[in-house]
Amino acid sequence: MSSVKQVLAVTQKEFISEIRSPSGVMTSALFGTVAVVAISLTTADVSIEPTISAGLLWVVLLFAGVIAMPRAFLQEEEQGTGDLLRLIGEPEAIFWGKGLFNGILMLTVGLVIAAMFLVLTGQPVVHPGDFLLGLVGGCASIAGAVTLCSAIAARSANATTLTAAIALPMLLFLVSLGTTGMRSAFGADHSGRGLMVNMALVAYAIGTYAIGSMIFPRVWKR
Amino acid sequence: MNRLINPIFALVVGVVTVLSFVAPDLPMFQRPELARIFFWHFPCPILATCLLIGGAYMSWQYLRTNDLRWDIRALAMQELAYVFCLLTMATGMIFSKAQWGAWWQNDPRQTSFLLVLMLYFAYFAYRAATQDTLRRASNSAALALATFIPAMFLIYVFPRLDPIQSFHPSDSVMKGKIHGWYAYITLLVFALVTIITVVMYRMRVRTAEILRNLEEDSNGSMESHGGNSAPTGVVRPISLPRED
Repeated sequence: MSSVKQVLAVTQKEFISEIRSPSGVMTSALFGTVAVVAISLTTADVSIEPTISAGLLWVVLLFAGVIAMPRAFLQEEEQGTGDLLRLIGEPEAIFWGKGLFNGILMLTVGLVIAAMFLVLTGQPVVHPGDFLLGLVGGCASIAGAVTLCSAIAARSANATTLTAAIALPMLLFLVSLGTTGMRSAFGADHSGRGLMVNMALVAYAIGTYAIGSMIFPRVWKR
Repeated sequence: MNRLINPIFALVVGVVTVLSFVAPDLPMFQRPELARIFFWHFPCPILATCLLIGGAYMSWQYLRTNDLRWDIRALAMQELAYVFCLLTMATGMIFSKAQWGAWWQNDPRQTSFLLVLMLYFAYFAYRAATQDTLRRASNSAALALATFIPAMFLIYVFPRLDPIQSFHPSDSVMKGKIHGWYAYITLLVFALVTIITVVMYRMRVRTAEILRNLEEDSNGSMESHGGNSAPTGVVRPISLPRED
């Protein structure tokens, strides 16, 4: 089977697993929804500045991602299918397959959360292109980093908590970059730097997946 | 000759310490006498970076060779790097108080270094949470490599990005703003701290290797006393007479 077919087969397997027990997407969407509604409720009688809006949205995205993504590898160990996957799959294909699934899942959750956030807070988007690029780059970065961290922590004690603990510091500065980009999309920064920052997010996502695919084979079969 | 090294080193440390107090105050600081913190602040991030690079290299060597000696070396490097990151943070806060009047300025440099501390704290948290020696070695090596690029980005790129505005100067050395007493003493302190770091690294590696050998010896002796070894001799099936 060619590498691309293997990657797609792993992604398909992840989708089937998620459809059978959609706990990842449900937990993440529920967390995101509750967080956005909480923001909307607590700021009902005040208008939020674009900078604060951007920061709040990114914090919600970050934690929604960290809650949902670790399942990709943890569920293999919980269900006892990890060893079978190690026997039959190429490590690179497994990483890319699970990373692709996580990327799609994170992007879906991110779009839903962002849409709800915009509707409930009434925040206008001045530059939709910047907004979408930042969202795609940010979601892909979160998915790449958390996929790698969950692979590293999958067989440790307290794996879910540990994955979040080691992934969050890697992602914190993304919040800073993402907030700068989103602020520009919301029209609070007219310097034109939003595009540069959003490109940095996309570059970080590419870097994370590239490094992950190099490191992952060396930890997966041990 | 070996006997003389320690007294000579102690003498040099003493001379440099005295020189650092002889150096003139810097009037550009809010508290000119506290400008001397620069002697100790400047070498710390550079050494921390060198140690982080060394740690990443040794982690990669471990993943390549599966030799646990590389894991010991990588851990020693990361531990020392963390110590220097903490010293950078501490001296940076004193610097911040001396120059800008507050211990914590929310300056991008300070914040990004705090994130680096968190990144490497995660490395040690991971090692503490994993009991299996080989898995801990391979996965923590992977984690060290995965955190290396964000760490370098946070130390060198993030504070220099166009939209980020930092109080912290980034071009003092490149543009030759450090000269005279301050350049010479900083170089001397840098050299001394580097020597101390090399000695500490070698001691740490040696200690870890001795501990690992002791652990292997104790496991070996347990097996020789029958702890985990299979019994010798052959067990044959026998038939028992049936009782009618």
